[in-house]
Amino acid sequence: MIGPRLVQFLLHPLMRGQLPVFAGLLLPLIYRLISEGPAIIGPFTVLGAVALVWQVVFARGRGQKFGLEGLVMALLIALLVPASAPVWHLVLGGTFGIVIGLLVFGGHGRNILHPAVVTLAFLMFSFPTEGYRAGIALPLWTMVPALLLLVGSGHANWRILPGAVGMVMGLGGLWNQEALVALPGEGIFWLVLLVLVADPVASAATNWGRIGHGLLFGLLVVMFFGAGPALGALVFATLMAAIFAPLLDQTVMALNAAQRARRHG
Amino acid sequence: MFEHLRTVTDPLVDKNPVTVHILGICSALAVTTSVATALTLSLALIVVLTLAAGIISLIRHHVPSAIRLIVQITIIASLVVVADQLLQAFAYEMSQRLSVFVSLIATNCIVLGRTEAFALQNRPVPSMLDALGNGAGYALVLLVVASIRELFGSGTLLARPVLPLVADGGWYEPMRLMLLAPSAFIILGLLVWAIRSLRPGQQEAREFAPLPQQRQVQP
Repeated sequence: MIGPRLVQFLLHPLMRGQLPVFAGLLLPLIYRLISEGPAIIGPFTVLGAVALVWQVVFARGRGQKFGLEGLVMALLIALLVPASAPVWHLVLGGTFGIVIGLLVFGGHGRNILHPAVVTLAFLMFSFPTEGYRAGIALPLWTMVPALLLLVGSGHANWRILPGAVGMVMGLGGLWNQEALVALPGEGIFWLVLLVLVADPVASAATNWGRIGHGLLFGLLVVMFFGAGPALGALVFATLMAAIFAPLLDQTVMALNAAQRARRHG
Repeated sequence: MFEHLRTVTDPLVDKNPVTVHILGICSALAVTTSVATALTLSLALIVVLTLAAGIISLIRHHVPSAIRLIVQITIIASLVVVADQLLQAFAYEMSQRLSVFVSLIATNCIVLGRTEAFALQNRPVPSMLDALGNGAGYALVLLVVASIRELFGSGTLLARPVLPLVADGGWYEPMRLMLLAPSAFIILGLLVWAIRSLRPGQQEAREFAPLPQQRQVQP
Protein backbone atom coordinates (compact mmCIF):
# COMPACT_ATOMS: atom_id res chain seq x y z
CA MET A 1 0.00 0.00 0.00
CA ILE A 2 2.92 2.30 0.61
CA GLY A 3 4.22 2.11 -2.98
CA PRO A 4 1.72 4.37 -4.77
CA ARG A 5 1.70 6.81 -1.87
CA LEU A 6 5.51 7.09 -2.06
CA VAL A 7 5.46 7.61 -5.80
CA GLN A 8 2.78 10.26 -5.40
CA PHE A 9 4.90 12.01 -2.75
CA LEU A 10 8.08 11.90 -4.80
CA LEU A 11 6.36 13.18 -7.95
CA HIS A 12 4.62 16.05 -6.15
CA PRO A 13 5.32 19.40 -7.88
CA LEU A 14 6.98 20.74 -4.75
CA MET A 15 9.60 17.99 -5.00
CA ARG A 16 10.77 19.38 -8.33
CA GLY A 17 12.38 22.45 -6.82
CA GLN A 18 15.05 22.87 -4.18
CA LEU A 19 12.94 21.55 -1.28
CA PRO A 20 14.26 17.95 -1.40
CA VAL A 21 17.84 19.26 -1.43
CA PHE A 22 17.11 21.43 1.58
CA ALA A 23 15.45 18.54 3.39
CA GLY A 24 18.30 16.17 2.55
CA LEU A 25 20.86 18.60 3.95
CA LEU A 26 19.09 18.94 7.29
CA LEU A 27 20.51 15.75 8.80
CA PRO A 28 24.17 16.67 8.05
CA LEU A 29 23.42 20.12 9.50
CA ILE A 30 21.98 18.64 12.69
CA TYR A 31 24.94 16.26 12.93
CA ARG A 32 27.41 19.14 12.71
CA LEU A 33 25.36 21.19 15.18
CA ILE A 34 25.54 18.37 17.73
CA SER A 35 29.18 17.45 17.15
CA GLU A 36 30.65 20.97 16.94
CA GLY A 37 28.16 23.20 18.69
CA PRO A 38 26.27 26.17 17.26
CA ALA A 39 29.32 27.84 15.61
CA ILE A 40 28.14 26.75 12.14
CA ILE A 41 25.03 28.95 12.44
CA GLY A 42 27.24 32.03 11.93
CA PRO A 43 28.54 31.16 8.43
CA PHE A 44 25.07 29.94 7.40
CA THR A 45 23.47 33.24 8.45
CA VAL A 46 26.12 35.33 6.72
CA LEU A 47 25.99 33.34 3.48
CA GLY A 48 22.20 33.18 3.49
CA ALA A 49 21.96 36.95 3.94
CA VAL A 50 24.49 37.56 1.14
CA ALA A 51 22.66 35.22 -1.24
CA LEU A 52 19.25 36.71 -0.44
CA VAL A 53 20.44 40.30 -0.86
CA TRP A 54 21.90 39.60 -4.31
CA GLN A 55 18.88 37.57 -5.38
CA VAL A 56 16.53 40.38 -4.36
CA VAL A 57 18.69 42.96 -6.17
CA PHE A 58 18.71 40.95 -9.40
CA ALA A 59 15.07 39.92 -9.11
CA ARG A 60 14.00 43.55 -8.76
CA GLY A 61 16.28 44.68 -11.57
CA ARG A 62 15.07 42.03 -13.98
CA GLY A 63 11.48 41.57 -12.85
CA GLN A 64 12.05 37.87 -12.12
CA LYS A 65 11.23 35.58 -9.24
CA PHE A 66 13.62 33.38 -7.33
CA GLY A 67 13.44 30.21 -5.28
CA LEU A 68 15.30 28.52 -2.48
CA GLU A 69 18.51 28.05 -4.47
CA GLY A 70 20.34 30.83 -2.65
CA LEU A 71 19.56 29.38 0.77
CA VAL A 72 20.54 25.88 -0.39
CA MET A 73 23.84 27.30 -1.63
CA ALA A 74 24.40 29.01 1.72
CA LEU A 75 23.64 25.83 3.63
CA LEU A 76 25.95 23.75 1.43
CA ILE A 77 28.86 26.13 1.77
CA ALA A 78 28.31 26.50 5.52
CA LEU A 79 28.41 22.70 5.79
CA LEU A 80 31.68 22.39 3.87
CA VAL A 81 33.81 25.29 5.18
CA PRO A 82 35.37 25.47 8.65
CA ALA A 83 33.11 27.24 11.14
CA SER A 84 35.99 29.63 11.95
CA ALA A 85 36.09 31.10 8.43
CA PRO A 86 36.43 34.93 8.52
CA VAL A 87 33.24 36.81 7.70
CA TRP A 88 34.77 38.84 4.87
CA HIS A 89 35.92 35.65 3.12
CA LEU A 90 32.36 34.36 3.28
CA VAL A 91 30.83 37.63 2.06
CA LEU A 92 33.29 37.88 -0.84
CA GLY A 93 33.09 34.20 -1.76
CA GLY A 94 29.30 34.08 -1.43
CA THR A 95 28.90 37.21 -3.56
CA PHE A 96 31.21 35.80 -6.21
CA GLY A 97 29.40 32.46 -6.24
CA ILE A 98 25.85 33.75 -6.41
CA VAL A 99 26.55 36.58 -8.88
CA ILE A 100 29.15 35.07 -11.21
CA GLY A 101 28.00 31.48 -10.80
CA LEU A 102 24.24 31.97 -10.99
CA LEU A 103 22.71 35.40 -11.43
CA VAL A 104 24.68 36.75 -14.41
CA PHE A 105 23.39 33.84 -16.46
CA GLY A 106 19.79 34.82 -15.74
CA GLY A 107 19.01 32.89 -12.59
CA HIS A 108 18.57 29.30 -11.51
CA GLY A 109 18.22 26.90 -14.43
CA ARG A 110 20.36 28.94 -16.82
CA ASN A 111 23.63 28.64 -14.92
CA ILE A 112 26.38 26.28 -16.09
CA LEU A 113 27.96 25.58 -12.69
CA HIS A 114 26.53 25.10 -9.23
CA PRO A 115 27.04 28.41 -7.36
CA ALA A 116 28.30 26.58 -4.27
CA VAL A 117 31.05 24.96 -6.37
CA VAL A 118 32.01 28.40 -7.70
CA THR A 119 32.19 29.81 -4.16
CA LEU A 120 34.20 26.87 -2.83
CA ALA A 121 36.64 26.98 -5.74
CA PHE A 122 37.01 30.74 -5.24
CA LEU A 123 37.78 30.32 -1.53
CA MET A 124 40.18 27.44 -2.15
CA PHE A 125 42.11 29.27 -4.87
CA SER A 126 42.15 32.64 -3.15
CA PHE A 127 43.01 31.60 0.39
CA PRO A 128 44.97 28.34 0.11
CA THR A 129 46.31 28.55 3.67
CA GLU A 130 42.93 28.86 5.41
CA GLY A 131 42.02 25.17 5.40
CA TYR A 132 39.10 25.38 2.96
CA ARG A 133 40.44 22.35 1.11
CA ALA A 134 40.44 20.11 4.16
CA GLY A 135 36.72 19.42 4.43
CA ILE A 136 34.79 17.96 7.33
CA ALA A 137 34.21 14.49 8.79
CA LEU A 138 30.66 13.35 8.03
CA PRO A 139 29.49 9.80 8.68
CA LEU A 140 27.85 7.93 5.82
CA TRP A 141 24.47 7.52 7.53
CA THR A 142 23.84 11.27 7.62
CA MET A 143 23.55 11.21 3.81
CA VAL A 144 20.98 8.38 3.59
CA PRO A 145 17.91 10.69 3.63
CA ALA A 146 19.50 12.91 0.99
CA LEU A 147 20.22 9.88 -1.20
CA LEU A 148 16.63 8.63 -0.97
CA LEU A 149 15.04 12.06 -1.42
CA LEU A 150 17.25 13.27 -4.25
CA VAL A 151 17.40 10.08 -6.28
CA GLY A 152 13.72 9.33 -5.58
CA SER A 153 12.52 12.74 -6.70
CA GLY A 154 14.77 12.61 -9.76
CA HIS A 155 16.73 15.66 -8.58
CA ALA A 156 19.98 13.67 -8.66
CA ASN A 157 19.90 11.36 -11.63
CA TRP A 158 20.90 7.80 -10.60
CA ARG A 159 22.91 7.28 -13.80
CA ILE A 160 25.61 9.64 -12.56
CA LEU A 161 26.24 7.78 -9.32
CA PRO A 162 27.56 4.28 -10.29
CA GLY A 163 30.14 5.63 -12.73
CA ALA A 164 31.56 8.00 -10.12
CA VAL A 165 31.69 5.42 -7.32
CA GLY A 166 32.95 2.65 -9.62
CA MET A 167 35.68 4.81 -11.12
CA VAL A 168 36.99 5.98 -7.74
CA MET A 169 36.93 2.52 -6.14
CA GLY A 170 38.10 0.69 -9.27
CA LEU A 171 41.10 2.90 -10.03
CA GLY A 172 41.86 3.12 -6.30
CA GLY A 173 41.91 -0.69 -6.08
CA LEU A 174 43.97 -0.95 -9.26
CA TRP A 175 46.66 1.33 -7.88
CA ASN A 176 46.40 0.03 -4.30
CA GLN A 177 45.33 3.39 -2.88
CA GLU A 178 43.36 2.55 0.23
CA ALA A 179 42.33 6.16 0.82
CA LEU A 180 40.59 6.18 -2.56
CA VAL A 181 38.82 2.87 -2.01
CA ALA A 182 37.59 4.16 1.35
CA LEU A 183 36.48 7.53 -0.09
CA PRO A 184 32.92 6.43 -1.09
CA GLY A 185 32.45 5.32 2.52
CA GLU A 186 32.60 8.93 3.69
CA GLY A 187 29.61 11.22 3.91
CA ILE A 188 31.39 14.17 2.33
CA PHE A 189 31.91 12.23 -0.92
CA TRP A 190 28.19 11.57 -1.16
CA LEU A 191 27.33 15.15 -0.20
CA VAL A 192 29.44 16.46 -3.10
CA LEU A 193 28.30 13.74 -5.51
CA LEU A 194 24.56 13.98 -4.81
CA VAL A 195 24.11 17.71 -4.47
CA LEU A 196 26.93 19.32 -6.44
CA VAL A 197 27.87 16.83 -9.19
CA ALA A 198 24.38 15.48 -9.87
CA ASP A 199 22.76 18.92 -9.73
CA PRO A 200 20.16 18.78 -12.52
CA VAL A 201 21.20 22.14 -13.96
CA ALA A 202 24.97 21.69 -13.92
CA SER A 203 25.21 18.00 -14.87
CA ALA A 204 24.84 16.34 -18.25
CA ALA A 205 21.31 16.17 -19.61
CA THR A 206 21.33 13.06 -21.82
CA ASN A 207 21.26 9.57 -20.33
CA TRP A 208 24.54 8.39 -21.82
CA GLY A 209 26.01 11.81 -21.12
CA ARG A 210 25.10 11.35 -17.44
CA ILE A 211 26.95 8.04 -17.32
CA GLY A 212 29.94 9.71 -18.94
CA HIS A 213 29.68 12.64 -16.51
CA GLY A 214 29.85 10.26 -13.52
CA LEU A 215 32.83 8.41 -14.99
CA LEU A 216 34.62 11.67 -15.76
CA PHE A 217 34.02 12.96 -12.24
CA GLY A 218 35.43 9.72 -10.77
CA LEU A 219 38.48 9.87 -13.03
CA LEU A 220 39.15 13.50 -12.10
CA VAL A 221 38.80 12.76 -8.39
CA VAL A 222 41.40 9.99 -8.73
CA MET A 223 43.72 12.33 -10.62
CA PHE A 224 43.38 15.25 -8.21
CA PHE A 225 43.38 13.13 -5.07
CA GLY A 226 47.15 12.82 -4.88
CA ALA A 227 47.58 16.59 -5.15
CA GLY A 228 45.89 17.71 -1.94
CA PRO A 229 43.19 17.23 0.69
CA ALA A 230 40.00 15.35 -0.15
CA LEU A 231 37.49 18.20 -0.39
CA GLY A 232 39.77 20.19 -2.69
CA ALA A 233 40.03 17.21 -5.06
CA LEU A 234 36.26 16.65 -4.95
CA VAL A 235 35.38 20.30 -5.63
CA PHE A 236 37.87 20.76 -8.48
CA ALA A 237 36.73 17.47 -10.01
CA THR A 238 33.11 18.69 -9.79
CA LEU A 239 34.05 22.00 -11.42
CA MET A 240 35.90 20.37 -14.32
CA ALA A 241 33.27 17.66 -14.86
CA ALA A 242 30.48 20.28 -14.96
CA ILE A 243 32.44 22.32 -17.50
CA PHE A 244 32.73 19.25 -19.75
CA ALA A 245 29.10 18.17 -19.28
CA PRO A 246 27.73 20.12 -22.31
CA LEU A 247 30.47 18.60 -24.47
CA LEU A 248 29.45 15.10 -23.34
CA ASP A 249 25.82 15.91 -24.19
CA GLN A 250 26.82 17.26 -27.58
CA THR A 251 28.85 14.12 -28.32
CA VAL A 252 25.97 11.85 -27.33
CA MET A 253 23.55 13.81 -29.50
CA ALA A 254 25.93 13.80 -32.49
CA LEU A 255 26.45 10.04 -32.14
CA ASN A 256 22.70 9.52 -31.90
CA ALA A 257 22.09 11.65 -34.98
CA ALA A 258 24.78 9.77 -36.92
CA GLN A 259 23.31 6.43 -35.88
CA ARG A 260 19.82 7.47 -36.94
CA ALA A 261 21.11 8.83 -40.23
CA ARG A 262 22.84 5.53 -40.93
CA ARG A 263 19.74 3.54 -40.00
CA HIS A 264 17.21 5.57 -41.91
CA GLY A 265 19.36 6.99 -44.67
CA MET B 1 40.96 70.02 -34.97
CA PHE B 2 37.86 68.84 -33.18
CA GLU B 3 37.61 65.86 -35.53
CA HIS B 4 41.20 64.89 -34.77
CA LEU B 5 40.42 65.08 -31.08
CA ARG B 6 37.51 62.72 -31.60
CA THR B 7 39.80 60.23 -33.39
CA VAL B 8 41.93 60.09 -30.27
CA THR B 9 39.23 60.08 -27.59
CA ASP B 10 36.69 57.76 -29.22
CA PRO B 11 38.73 54.57 -28.70
CA LEU B 12 39.06 55.28 -24.98
CA VAL B 13 35.55 54.12 -24.04
CA ASP B 14 33.07 54.27 -26.90
CA LYS B 15 35.13 52.29 -29.42
CA ASN B 16 37.61 50.71 -27.03
CA PRO B 17 39.53 47.93 -28.81
CA VAL B 18 39.49 45.65 -25.74
CA THR B 19 36.04 46.11 -24.24
CA VAL B 20 34.07 46.68 -27.45
CA HIS B 21 35.95 44.69 -30.09
CA ILE B 22 37.39 42.19 -27.56
CA LEU B 23 40.84 42.35 -29.19
CA GLY B 24 44.23 41.94 -27.56
CA ILE B 25 42.89 39.79 -24.73
CA CYS B 26 45.87 37.42 -24.38
CA SER B 27 48.38 40.06 -23.43
CA ALA B 28 45.74 41.74 -21.26
CA LEU B 29 45.66 38.53 -19.21
CA ALA B 30 49.34 37.85 -19.15
CA VAL B 31 50.92 41.14 -18.10
CA THR B 32 48.31 42.52 -15.69
CA THR B 33 49.55 40.88 -12.49
CA SER B 34 51.29 44.16 -11.68
CA VAL B 35 50.79 47.76 -12.77
CA ALA B 36 54.45 48.21 -13.74
CA THR B 37 54.45 45.45 -16.35
CA ALA B 38 51.07 46.57 -17.71
CA LEU B 39 52.33 50.14 -18.03
CA THR B 40 55.51 49.07 -19.84
CA LEU B 41 53.70 46.86 -22.30
CA SER B 42 51.08 49.54 -22.96
CA LEU B 43 53.80 52.09 -23.71
CA ALA B 44 55.58 49.65 -26.02
CA LEU B 45 52.31 48.93 -27.83
CA ILE B 46 51.43 52.61 -28.19
CA VAL B 47 54.84 53.39 -29.70
CA VAL B 48 54.81 50.41 -32.06
CA LEU B 49 51.21 50.99 -33.14
CA THR B 50 51.62 54.71 -33.75
CA LEU B 51 54.83 54.32 -35.78
CA ALA B 52 53.48 51.36 -37.74
CA ALA B 53 50.28 53.23 -38.60
CA GLY B 54 52.29 56.25 -39.76
CA ILE B 55 54.68 54.22 -41.93
CA ILE B 56 51.95 52.06 -43.46
CA SER B 57 49.81 55.10 -44.18
CA LEU B 58 52.78 56.76 -45.94
CA ILE B 59 53.32 53.85 -48.30
CA ARG B 60 49.65 52.92 -48.68
CA HIS B 61 49.47 53.83 -52.38
CA HIS B 62 52.51 51.71 -53.24
CA VAL B 63 51.53 48.46 -51.52
CA PRO B 64 49.94 45.88 -53.87
CA SER B 65 46.71 44.69 -52.36
CA ALA B 66 47.66 41.01 -52.66
CA ILE B 67 50.67 41.25 -50.35
CA ARG B 68 49.52 44.08 -48.08
CA LEU B 69 49.25 41.83 -45.00
CA ILE B 70 52.81 40.59 -45.41
CA VAL B 71 54.09 44.14 -45.79
CA GLN B 72 52.18 45.28 -42.71
CA ILE B 73 53.40 42.39 -40.58
CA THR B 74 57.00 42.97 -41.72
CA ILE B 75 56.85 46.62 -40.71
CA ILE B 76 55.14 45.87 -37.39
CA ALA B 77 57.55 43.03 -36.56
CA SER B 78 60.60 45.19 -37.31
CA LEU B 79 59.29 47.89 -34.97
CA VAL B 80 58.57 45.28 -32.30
CA VAL B 81 62.11 43.95 -32.52
CA VAL B 82 63.45 47.49 -32.09
CA ALA B 83 61.18 48.08 -29.07
CA ASP B 84 62.21 44.74 -27.56
CA GLN B 85 65.91 45.45 -28.02
CA LEU B 86 65.56 48.94 -26.54
CA LEU B 87 63.77 47.49 -23.53
CA GLN B 88 66.45 44.84 -23.05
CA ALA B 89 69.17 47.48 -23.31
CA PHE B 90 67.70 50.05 -20.91
CA ALA B 91 65.33 48.11 -18.66
CA TYR B 92 66.67 44.59 -18.53
CA GLU B 93 64.76 43.45 -15.42
CA MET B 94 61.46 44.66 -16.79
CA SER B 95 62.12 42.90 -20.09
CA GLN B 96 62.72 39.67 -18.15
CA ARG B 97 59.42 40.07 -16.30
CA LEU B 98 57.58 40.69 -19.56
CA SER B 99 59.30 37.65 -21.14
CA VAL B 100 57.84 37.01 -24.60
CA PHE B 101 54.97 39.44 -24.44
CA VAL B 102 56.80 42.39 -25.94
CA SER B 103 57.71 40.29 -28.99
CA LEU B 104 54.11 39.10 -29.13
CA ILE B 105 52.95 42.68 -29.81
CA ALA B 106 53.61 41.70 -33.45
CA THR B 107 50.67 39.30 -33.26
CA ASN B 108 48.43 41.63 -31.24
CA CYS B 109 45.15 41.91 -33.12
CA ILE B 110 44.80 45.60 -32.26
CA VAL B 111 47.96 46.51 -34.18
CA LEU B 112 47.12 44.68 -37.38
CA GLY B 113 43.46 45.61 -37.01
CA ARG B 114 44.13 49.35 -36.90
CA THR B 115 46.72 49.35 -39.69
CA GLU B 116 44.52 47.19 -41.94
CA ALA B 117 41.25 48.96 -41.16
CA PHE B 118 42.39 52.56 -40.80
CA ALA B 119 45.96 53.32 -41.83
CA LEU B 120 45.59 51.74 -45.30
CA GLN B 121 42.75 54.12 -46.14
CA ASN B 122 43.78 57.36 -44.42
CA ARG B 123 46.45 60.02 -44.45
CA PRO B 124 49.39 59.66 -42.03
CA VAL B 125 48.35 62.19 -39.37
CA PRO B 126 44.81 60.88 -38.79
CA SER B 127 46.20 57.31 -38.91
CA MET B 128 48.75 58.06 -36.21
CA LEU B 129 46.14 59.82 -34.08
CA ASP B 130 43.79 56.86 -34.44
CA ALA B 131 46.63 54.51 -33.51
CA LEU B 132 47.46 56.69 -30.51
CA GLY B 133 43.84 56.63 -29.37
CA ASN B 134 43.53 52.87 -29.73
CA GLY B 135 46.80 52.32 -27.93
CA ALA B 136 45.58 54.58 -25.14
CA GLY B 137 42.31 52.67 -24.95
CA TYR B 138 44.22 49.42 -24.63
CA ALA B 139 46.47 50.97 -21.99
CA LEU B 140 43.47 52.25 -20.05
CA VAL B 141 41.89 48.79 -19.82
CA LEU B 142 45.22 47.19 -18.96
CA LEU B 143 45.84 49.71 -16.18
CA VAL B 144 42.37 49.24 -14.67
CA VAL B 145 42.69 45.44 -14.67
CA ALA B 146 46.28 45.55 -13.41
CA SER B 147 45.45 47.97 -10.58
CA ILE B 148 42.67 45.71 -9.34
CA ARG B 149 44.79 42.57 -9.64
CA GLU B 150 47.88 44.03 -7.99
CA LEU B 151 45.92 45.74 -5.22
CA PHE B 152 43.95 42.66 -4.20
CA GLY B 153 46.48 40.03 -5.25
CA SER B 154 49.52 41.39 -3.43
CA GLY B 155 48.21 44.41 -1.51
CA THR B 156 50.47 46.84 -3.37
CA LEU B 157 50.23 49.42 -6.14
CA LEU B 158 53.31 50.02 -8.31
CA ALA B 159 55.18 47.89 -5.71
CA ARG B 160 54.26 50.34 -2.92
CA PRO B 161 52.37 48.68 -0.03
CA VAL B 162 48.76 49.92 0.20
CA LEU B 163 46.91 47.26 2.17
CA PRO B 164 48.68 46.00 5.34
CA LEU B 165 49.36 42.29 4.80
CA VAL B 166 48.80 39.57 7.37
CA ALA B 167 52.42 38.48 6.86
CA ASP B 168 53.58 41.94 8.03
CA GLY B 169 51.17 42.10 10.95
CA GLY B 170 48.29 43.81 9.11
CA TRP B 171 44.80 42.51 8.43
CA TYR B 172 44.71 41.96 4.67
CA GLU B 173 45.19 38.46 3.38
CA PRO B 174 46.17 38.60 -0.33
CA MET B 175 43.83 36.76 -2.68
CA ARG B 176 45.92 34.29 -4.63
CA LEU B 177 43.20 33.99 -7.26
CA MET B 178 43.92 37.56 -8.38
CA LEU B 179 47.40 36.54 -9.48
CA LEU B 180 46.08 33.70 -11.65
CA ALA B 181 44.93 34.21 -15.24
CA PRO B 182 41.20 33.44 -14.67
CA SER B 183 40.85 36.54 -12.51
CA ALA B 184 41.77 38.72 -15.49
CA PHE B 185 39.00 37.12 -17.52
CA ILE B 186 36.54 37.72 -14.69
CA ILE B 187 37.58 41.35 -14.14
CA LEU B 188 37.49 42.02 -17.88
CA GLY B 189 34.04 40.46 -18.10
CA LEU B 190 32.75 42.58 -15.23
CA LEU B 191 34.32 45.66 -16.84
CA VAL B 192 32.57 44.95 -20.16
CA TRP B 193 29.33 44.36 -18.26
CA ALA B 194 29.66 47.67 -16.40
CA ILE B 195 30.50 49.64 -19.54
CA ARG B 196 27.62 48.13 -21.52
CA SER B 197 25.21 48.85 -18.69
CA LEU B 198 26.30 52.50 -18.71
CA ARG B 199 26.40 52.71 -22.53
CA PRO B 200 23.47 50.63 -23.81
CA GLY B 201 24.45 51.48 -27.37
CA GLN B 202 27.29 48.95 -27.12
CA GLN B 203 24.99 46.05 -26.31
CA GLU B 204 24.68 43.45 -29.02
CA ALA B 205 21.31 42.24 -30.28
CA ARG B 206 20.00 39.10 -28.63
CA GLU B 207 20.80 35.96 -30.60
CA PHE B 208 17.56 34.39 -29.40
CA ALA B 209 14.77 35.27 -27.03
CA PRO B 210 14.19 32.93 -24.07
CA LEU B 211 10.94 30.99 -24.20
CA PRO B 212 8.14 32.35 -22.04
CA GLN B 213 7.77 30.52 -18.76
CA GLN B 214 5.16 27.79 -19.11
CA ARG B 215 4.61 26.91 -15.48
CA GLN B 216 5.32 28.69 -12.28
CA VAL B 217 8.81 28.38 -10.84
CA GLN B 218 8.97 25.83 -8.03
CA PRO B 219 10.66 26.98 -4.84
